[in-house]
Amino acid sequence: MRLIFAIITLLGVSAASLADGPAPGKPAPDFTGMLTSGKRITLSDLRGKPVMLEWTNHECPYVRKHYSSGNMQRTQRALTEEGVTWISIISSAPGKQGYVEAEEAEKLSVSRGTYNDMLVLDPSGEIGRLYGAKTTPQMFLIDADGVLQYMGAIDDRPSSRESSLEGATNHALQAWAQLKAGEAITPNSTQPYGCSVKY
Amino acid sequence: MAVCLALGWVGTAQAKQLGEAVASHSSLAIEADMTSVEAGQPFWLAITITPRPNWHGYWKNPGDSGASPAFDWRLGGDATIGEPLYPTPRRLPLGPLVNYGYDGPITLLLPARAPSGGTSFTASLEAEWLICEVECVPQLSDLTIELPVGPARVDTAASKIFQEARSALPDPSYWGSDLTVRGDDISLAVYMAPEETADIVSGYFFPESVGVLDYASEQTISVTPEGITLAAHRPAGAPDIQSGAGVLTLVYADGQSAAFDMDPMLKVVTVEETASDAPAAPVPTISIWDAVFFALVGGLILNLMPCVFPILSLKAFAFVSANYKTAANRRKEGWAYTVGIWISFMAIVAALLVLRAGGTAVGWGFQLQEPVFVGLMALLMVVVALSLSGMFNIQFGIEGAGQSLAAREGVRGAFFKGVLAALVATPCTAPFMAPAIGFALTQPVLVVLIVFSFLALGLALPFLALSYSPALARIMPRPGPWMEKVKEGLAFPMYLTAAWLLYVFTRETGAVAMLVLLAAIIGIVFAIWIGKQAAGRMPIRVLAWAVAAFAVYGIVSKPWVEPVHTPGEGYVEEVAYSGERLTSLLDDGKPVFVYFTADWCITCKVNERIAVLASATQQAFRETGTVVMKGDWTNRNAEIGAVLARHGRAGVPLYLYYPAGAREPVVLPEILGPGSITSIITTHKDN
Repeated sequence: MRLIFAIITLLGVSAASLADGPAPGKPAPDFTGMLTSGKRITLSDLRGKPVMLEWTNHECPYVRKHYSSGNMQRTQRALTEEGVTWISIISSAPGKQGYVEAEEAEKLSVSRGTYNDMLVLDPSGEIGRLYGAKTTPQMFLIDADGVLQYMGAIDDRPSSRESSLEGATNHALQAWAQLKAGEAITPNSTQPYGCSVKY
Repeated sequence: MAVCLALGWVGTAQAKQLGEAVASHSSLAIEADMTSVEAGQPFWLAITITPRPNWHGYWKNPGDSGASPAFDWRLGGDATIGEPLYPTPRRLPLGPLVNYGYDGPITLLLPARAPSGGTSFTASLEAEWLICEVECVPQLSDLTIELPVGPARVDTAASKIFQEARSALPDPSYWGSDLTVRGDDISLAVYMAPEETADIVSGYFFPESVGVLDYASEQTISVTPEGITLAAHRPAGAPDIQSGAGVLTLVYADGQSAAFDMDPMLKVVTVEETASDAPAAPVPTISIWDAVFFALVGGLILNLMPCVFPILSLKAFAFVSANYKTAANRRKEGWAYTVGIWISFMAIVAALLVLRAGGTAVGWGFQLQEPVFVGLMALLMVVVALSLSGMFNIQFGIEGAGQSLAAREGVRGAFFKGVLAALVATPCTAPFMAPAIGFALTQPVLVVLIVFSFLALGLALPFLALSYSPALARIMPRPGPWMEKVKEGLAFPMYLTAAWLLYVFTRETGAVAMLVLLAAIIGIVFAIWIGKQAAGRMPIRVLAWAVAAFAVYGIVSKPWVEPVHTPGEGYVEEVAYSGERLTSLLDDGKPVFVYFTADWCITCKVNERIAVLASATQQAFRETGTVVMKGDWTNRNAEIGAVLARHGRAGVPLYLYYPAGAREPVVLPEILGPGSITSIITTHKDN
């Protein structure tokens, strides 16, 4: 337990500070984060593969809508099966809603049946602030060249009701489909909705 | 227990509720302003959301996080319920984020209409609203409301709720306003009278649409003579702005505050990446080789331009008279002339590049916009003309005699004639060369230099060819007494050029400056006359030069006051060009003809006489209700400079026709025929 805590406190984020936050069409800010396994992951090491970043907080009702309905897992599965590296990020500060330690985070992944490739713990909120992450859920799609292609909400229904998923446009799936087809991504930026990131 | 008491209090104090829902952290109540509504008639519903103390709800744009209330209605018959009206929101900071919402109960007003038939208005509601402290709890509720349809009866008990709710809404605004997006900056300009802005101490704009501004950014207010401007930061990569609407809150010196519904005109200004990176797309896309070719051809055509031809004729004439010279001499002169042109062009280009780097909006031909330059050119023209007329002989250097010296003088003279040709040529260049120059001015320095070198070469080519080819030289007329007559005859185009320059000068300055210039011209003539009396006597020659220098100084010192140009005088239907005015005309779907002109631009003046101001064209304008806008480029003007640049032009003329309802103009050619404008109008009339 102590060891894990130590690992988390050691979690380093080395990122070139961007003057003005991320923007579609610009290189995604690079970061190094600590995984639940204790391994370090650096975004730029994943160059060559598209990456989806998902800010999450398991206690947020909006996140719950997407997980308890299975919508988030389906989206994760669809993208990861096509070669996207899916990184979930928790930026909740210790003591705040959604904060978890590695062990609990892993349990959550199992119990919710997630299809993400990695879960990054960002209790200092450095990665979150680097990306200007405002809500959970919030998505960032980065192409194989490290260029940000989509940022914003997961879909166009800012609601916590599961029934709102019916007929919703899943921006994450749509952005990936358009990126894959080499089309222009429309929209490439939306206002995310949900709970505030608990920095 | 406390909750029950509170609810009980709510129940008694308020009018008969149509519906109520109690959720985990808040309650929702619905009232109508009528106890009974007439069929098909409008009435109002009020939805009151009461959160727990210290919990908050959200505005229609919740800001960085959160969610606005969502109401999903199922209505009986053809009844309707409209979008809710929200009370003025507050900023709710939360760590690095800012939300827009309310930290107490709020009442939303919804316009409704009773069904045209039936006995009751029935509506079932699926409501979802978010209540947060730090953590958020979505509140869900399904409820049904019913109101009898019959004779209209006002619910007097509910009137207080509606009154209070209305007073919490932002006031309608009667001010005009613009929301300008410029890359990462956004500014809201609200046009107010000075007495309205006097007491304003602070302000904040709550945008309704997403992506307008960074909710957490500071908004700075500044008072301008036109009203107030609020500036804020817009996040990089923000979603596209759909609308500029929002609520403006103002705080006055006496501590009072007010809120206004604003629907500003949204203006998105494309930001150029760097100063040298002019907007790429609208510039005619021609390759460097095309540009070089056009530059060469343009230079050749320049030889025929009325403002250049006399000088070139002068040169041709000098060649003829120099038939005794050797081929080598002639070639030397040809190259001296070429170098003279080239150096002048490079000097102008260098100045242009410096000014371009400095961000000054100048067009090709800009030297003619300087009254001092125009005055000096007029002076020079008069001197050249007088020389041609035979008053004296121009020697570009010290007077001398002897064969060898004459040959040297010839080379030097050729060089200065090249300089003169280039200087006079530049205003004529623009109409023919606009695409090449427009291209060149947006290009790297090297490309600009290449293009302009070819322009210079084109201008020099006929005489360079002449200096090389004995065959060409043989075609030239033999020298004889006619030469004097031709020379004297050539004085008249010079006088006319001087007259035109005087016209330009007086339009740019005024009567006083004109007097100064005329006095300077007479001073120069006087100086020449004194010089002729000198016959080698030094003191008199010094006096002559002193008089000439004084005359020139009279112009250079600019002892006059330059008037502010008031464009658009004269013709009946003309409106002075302004981007704002054009946008509003286009918004109204009006056809608009815009022409950019300058007093010194002969091509413009000819086009205007034969096309723009021709009666057939004017009639076509009248018949189609076309608004005619005139952009005056006589004196530099950044706004017009930007428009010219956008269409890939470095100078006037530019003719744009916006057919009714179009946002993009048809660009007319730079040389207009009598029917050019009317035919464009007719082809677009039927579309």
